[in-house]
Amino acid sequence: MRKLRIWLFIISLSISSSWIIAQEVTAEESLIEEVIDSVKKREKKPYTIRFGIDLSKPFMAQLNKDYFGLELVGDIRFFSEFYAAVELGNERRTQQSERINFSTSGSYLKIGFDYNLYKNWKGMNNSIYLGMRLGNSFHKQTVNEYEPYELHHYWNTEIIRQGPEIREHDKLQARWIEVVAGLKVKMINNLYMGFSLRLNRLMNDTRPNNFDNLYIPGFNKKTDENVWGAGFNYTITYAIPVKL
Amino acid sequence: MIPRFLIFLIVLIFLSCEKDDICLEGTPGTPRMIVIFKDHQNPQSKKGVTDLLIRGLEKKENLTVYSGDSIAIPLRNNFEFTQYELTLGSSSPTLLSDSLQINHNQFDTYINRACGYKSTFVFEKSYHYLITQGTGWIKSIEKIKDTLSDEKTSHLAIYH
Repeated sequence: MRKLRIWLFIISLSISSSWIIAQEVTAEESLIEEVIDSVKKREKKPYTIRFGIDLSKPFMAQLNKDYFGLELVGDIRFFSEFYAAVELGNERRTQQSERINFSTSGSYLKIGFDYNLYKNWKGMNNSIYLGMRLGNSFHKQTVNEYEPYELHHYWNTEIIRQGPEIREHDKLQARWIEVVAGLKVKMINNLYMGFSLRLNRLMNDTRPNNFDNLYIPGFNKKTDENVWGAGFNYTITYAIPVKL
Repeated sequence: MIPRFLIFLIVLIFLSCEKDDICLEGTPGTPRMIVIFKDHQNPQSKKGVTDLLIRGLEKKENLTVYSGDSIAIPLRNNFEFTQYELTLGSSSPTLLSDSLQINHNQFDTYINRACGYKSTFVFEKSYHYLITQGTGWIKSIEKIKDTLSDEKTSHLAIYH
């Protein structure tokens, strides 16, 4: 903290490094305090609203024709280094697991906060943050085809493409908590690039009858043996300063 | 530097192998039909068969040549019937052959991600049909259980 203030002082006065002389320390310190105070008064941060999209999802949709994803992100600084954050997304994905081909589609909403740990210089607005989210998805699962589990292969195992289990399971939900770590860097003007990693813990989900939520929009892959999942996003956001 | 970093990222995202992806050995799959062989003169007691050649109709290879009093026979998935030719005494000069059709339907139950679904067969009301009759060795057939949910109990009895 003190070091930072000293550095701030150096920059604001643009003086050379030979200024610290033992006899003058007390005088210098009082001067620093005065300068910092006046800087603080002037540097009242505006309430910035940032919004944008996750670039990784359209990128992945380009690579994989069985995937579509869109995520809108937004945050607003509400006091000190706390930001309220929200993500709203939609995903459609068809995938082949070991023996089942299925499609998942649905929307999700994540609401939470970020806490910025990065001490910015005056005029900068970058952040390295930790945060939390509550996530909720509204989705449906469709079983397209599957190969029944057979231990004995005297007869050919037929892939089942129609029947009572080839159906859509709708009105499904999942709720989870995310721990977020990420950064946002100001590129030009009010444009920010951001990256975040997320560790998800599933709280509860409505399981489809005679199937499972193998994939949950927003949460990603759900495994059989534990409740943890992971995700990331790569965002580009635009900031609108709001002076109150 | 940038391409190398990108490759690393792509590897991270797309190549992930988990325990989840392997169906554990010992997970019960689709059960076979357990057939026990009984004495038609004394319905209470088992009577084993010797050198019973079992072959699915339209199949070239045999399922097995079996001696004993109970055997597990796989049924055809996603079909409404399974046909087998049962030939007794395949090593003796007099061949006694019977072709048997089992009528069944099925329902499939989800197990987990790696194993997927397993099938459970249910016998139809007219659950069997002897395609060749007369000089065969099978005297009668009895249904023991309607639903083939596991291989722990027998499902069908053949009297001979």
